[in-house]
Amino acid sequence: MKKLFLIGLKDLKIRSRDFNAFIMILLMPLILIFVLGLVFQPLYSSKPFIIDTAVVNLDNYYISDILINDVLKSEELSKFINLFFLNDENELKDSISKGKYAVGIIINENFTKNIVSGKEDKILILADPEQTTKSGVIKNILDTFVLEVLKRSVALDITSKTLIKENLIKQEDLNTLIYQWSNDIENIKSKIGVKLVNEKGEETRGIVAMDYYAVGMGVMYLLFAANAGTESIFEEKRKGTYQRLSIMPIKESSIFSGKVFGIFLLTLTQFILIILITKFFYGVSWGNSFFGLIIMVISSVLCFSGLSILFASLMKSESQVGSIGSTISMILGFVGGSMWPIFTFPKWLNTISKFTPNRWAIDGFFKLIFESGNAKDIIPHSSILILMTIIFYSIGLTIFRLKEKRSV
Amino acid sequence: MNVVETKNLTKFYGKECAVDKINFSINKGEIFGLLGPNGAGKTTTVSMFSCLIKPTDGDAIICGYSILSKSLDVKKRIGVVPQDVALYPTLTAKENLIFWGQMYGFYGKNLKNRVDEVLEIVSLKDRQNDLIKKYSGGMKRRINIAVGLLASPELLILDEPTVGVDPQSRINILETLKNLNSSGLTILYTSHYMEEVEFLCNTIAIMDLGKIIAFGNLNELRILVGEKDKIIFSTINDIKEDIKIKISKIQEVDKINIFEKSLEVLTLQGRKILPEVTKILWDEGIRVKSVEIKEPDLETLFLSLTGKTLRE
Repeated sequence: MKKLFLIGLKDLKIRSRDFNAFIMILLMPLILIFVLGLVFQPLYSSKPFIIDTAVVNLDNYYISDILINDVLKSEELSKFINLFFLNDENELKDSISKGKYAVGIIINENFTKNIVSGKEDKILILADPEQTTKSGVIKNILDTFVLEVLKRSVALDITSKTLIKENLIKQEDLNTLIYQWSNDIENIKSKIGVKLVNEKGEETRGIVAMDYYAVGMGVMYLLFAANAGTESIFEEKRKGTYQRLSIMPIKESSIFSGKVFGIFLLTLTQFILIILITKFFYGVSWGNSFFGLIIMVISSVLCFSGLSILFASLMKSESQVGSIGSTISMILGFVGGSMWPIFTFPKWLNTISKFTPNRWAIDGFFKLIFESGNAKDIIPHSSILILMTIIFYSIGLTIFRLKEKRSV
Repeated sequence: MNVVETKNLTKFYGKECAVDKINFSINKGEIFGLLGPNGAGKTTTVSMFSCLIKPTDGDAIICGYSILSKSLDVKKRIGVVPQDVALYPTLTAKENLIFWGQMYGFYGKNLKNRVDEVLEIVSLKDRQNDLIKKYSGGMKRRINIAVGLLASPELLILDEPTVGVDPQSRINILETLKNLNSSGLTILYTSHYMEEVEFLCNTIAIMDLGKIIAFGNLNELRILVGEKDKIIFSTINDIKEDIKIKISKIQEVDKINIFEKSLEVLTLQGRKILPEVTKILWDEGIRVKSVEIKEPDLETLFLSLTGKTLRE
């Protein structure tokens, strides 16, 4: 048993000195996580881009103040709208034409008075022709605001006229009452909001691209690491060290198990490093359940080690493991959701993906990360991965044994 | 006492017979040479002794244990130096030896002592912390041998350990083996270099096509060859096969071997027939560059037994 562990540790030591393996199984996934995380962030979050917006407020009265301070400067919108204030229309037009701002807003003089008195007025939006999507977003926000102002204005007008007519309030108390109603609305608003929750009603993080690809690439590159480990079986046979091990006083099963343990150790080390590096350098959240994370890591590592043993049993050389193994890793990565979000998959691809270990590993990690899941929540995922592990190892080892028998 | 004893040891690969019912024994304390050309069955034989492959038929008793039923006991008692340099190039010599020592079951202080001892034997203690990939071919071969010595074996099996080694390293390796043998180690040495076997071995078996075709000490084998001389003609131009007929008409000629630009004639009276053969070559328009008369050796024996050279 001791020799089995020593063989595994020796393999890990050899791989740790292999610069090519370092690039392939550690550097590549970290670069991909970083690049894909940055590039595809808009696909995943509610913060598609930053809109630099310049405002010329010639009105400076309460409705335009509400628009600027309560709407455009609100907590939600300020995440993607950068506001700049200018004094002059011409300066604004000039800046827009030079591409300094994506969108310009001009609020005319007496805008508030005109709206309150029912006169026609319009807020002007100037758009950078190369950034029309951004001006479209701002137009939608202003449309909604204007519509809301009109609805409230009309509702207030009707309500106050009715109440005065019915002698329920006096004309002179109207301004005080409007102020009170506004405060009441603000109080209610503070208790009402939007919150992303899981099915248990717990607040969740929402999907962040960097987190998604840390899981996706981390899982996909497990198979690359495992393949690098299985390549060493062929490499040792080619160089004669495997045969030398076979003439030592060790059981043949211990040698093979030692090699498999080496694959497990290499894959585990790679994944732990990816988790630690992405957590501390990329700010990736790996969920709040440490125990759940351990279960998912070990079951995934076991499953991909088993899959690589199955591949190796069907291959004839280390170059085959390298080339065919990489191709299969990429295909499984694509089908299993490592490259593209599973929620964008058509139904048929979604069904196929459930036959890949990538899918179950990714779903399990997502449960922990995006849905604040715990160890109990990922039991189905880890169980399926362990079941796949048993199947992969059983078939792989049987084929290996048959091959060994034939060669002796 | 016999350290090795084979009983009709046979190995087939499919329908091809690699080792054909061989029977021989190796006494304790001797250096036994297994000589033969590539493909003679030497590596298959030592692979069976090492329990790496199973015989198709027959058995061998190594250090008192059957390779068929007690392979683990056999493995504990032998050291094997394979033909390839079976080392990890990205580990240092010391790390390699520590790993292989652990595989033999050495740990802690015992392991450290044993590693130091074998490094001394192969004279590489001062380079122990260098990576194997930075070693020369000869140094790699010496560490390869050191691994075989780790378990303090009763029998050291070396399968062509000097292939691709420079002359100086070869001498170093052969001297090391002589020293090990003088301290009581039994050695089985396979090679197709007859000079090495002649220099090193007390007993020699010559293999060809899976069979032992000659067996004995050097003197016994020389008698077998009948004290024949070998005349080697090196020529400027190519030699045609039909010249064989003309030379074979000389009564004392035993065997003729023709290569592109050389001719070997096996005879009991080398010096006597030399002028006659030279004349035939001259008459045929073949210009002789050099002539050499070699006294009987294992190469000559092999040629006389098989009609081909060891390096073919």
